[in-house]
Amino acid sequence: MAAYTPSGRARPHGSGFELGIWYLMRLTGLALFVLALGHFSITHFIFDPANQTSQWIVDERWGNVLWRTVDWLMLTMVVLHSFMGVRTVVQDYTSGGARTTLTMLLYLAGIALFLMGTMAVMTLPFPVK
Amino acid sequence: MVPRDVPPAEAPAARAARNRARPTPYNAAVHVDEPATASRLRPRPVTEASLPVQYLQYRGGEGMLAWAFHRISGVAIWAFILLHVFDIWLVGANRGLYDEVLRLYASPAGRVGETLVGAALLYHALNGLRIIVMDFWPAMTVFHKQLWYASWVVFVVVGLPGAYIILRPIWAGAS
Repeated sequence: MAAYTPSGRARPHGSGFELGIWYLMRLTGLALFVLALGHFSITHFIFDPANQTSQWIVDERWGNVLWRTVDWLMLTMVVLHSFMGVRTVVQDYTSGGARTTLTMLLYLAGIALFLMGTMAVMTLPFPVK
Repeated sequence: MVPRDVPPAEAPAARAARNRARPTPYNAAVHVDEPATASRLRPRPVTEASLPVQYLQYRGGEGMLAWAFHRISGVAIWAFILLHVFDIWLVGANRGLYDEVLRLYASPAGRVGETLVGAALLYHALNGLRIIVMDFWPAMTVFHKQLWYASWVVFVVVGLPGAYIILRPIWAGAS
């Protein structure tokens, strides 16, 4: 009989990497409930996508360190949560060499995306006033 | 026709008392010999007559749908994140290209896409909260369906006005 759960994933037994990931998913998930929903509300309900040009990002959105920090925190949380989530999906449907290859590719892509986002948020010049 | 060899049905009061006596171990209901409290969490018995339905429903019910939607929306959001971090990277790397991508986001098709991304995000967030509630408060697994319905109520109440705000410029002609 297949294990049936109302939702979610059984807490891994013992301790170690998998249990750490299990807690990490819930912790980053809670953080993203605030950060990601807040980000979506700001970019779609408070402002409109049509007005968020690169100039607007330089001048307004990333015009101070606080908002850059918030966005970088969101980047960290979203990379951890989304890539570890897709890792779970990959490990559910693959096995053997394919699983190892895909998981490693996923880690590489996650690191690359994190570096790209970090580079964007940290190297963009501040507005000249 | 009265079916034979069927044990007499348990009185509801007796069943309720038995259910109260046994706490539900989250995700463990099928691992114990006798599934404990929530009969709702127990897989339906597979009989020949119910087989096609069983295939259609997998294990059936809200719990499976909540899980499937969570997984589909999660992978969809992941795919959008790949695009979205890349386009923000363009602000520093190729500003002109970023502004062109932005025009795509602000177009009618882009707005429909953003509404779908927002719907996936909202469902994933609400159902994720439901999972966290059940993980750290196992007694709530008994009400996993009610929690799911509640998340849909919030989804509609928050989502419909949100979709209206995002899509309004299409017919208002502002974009």
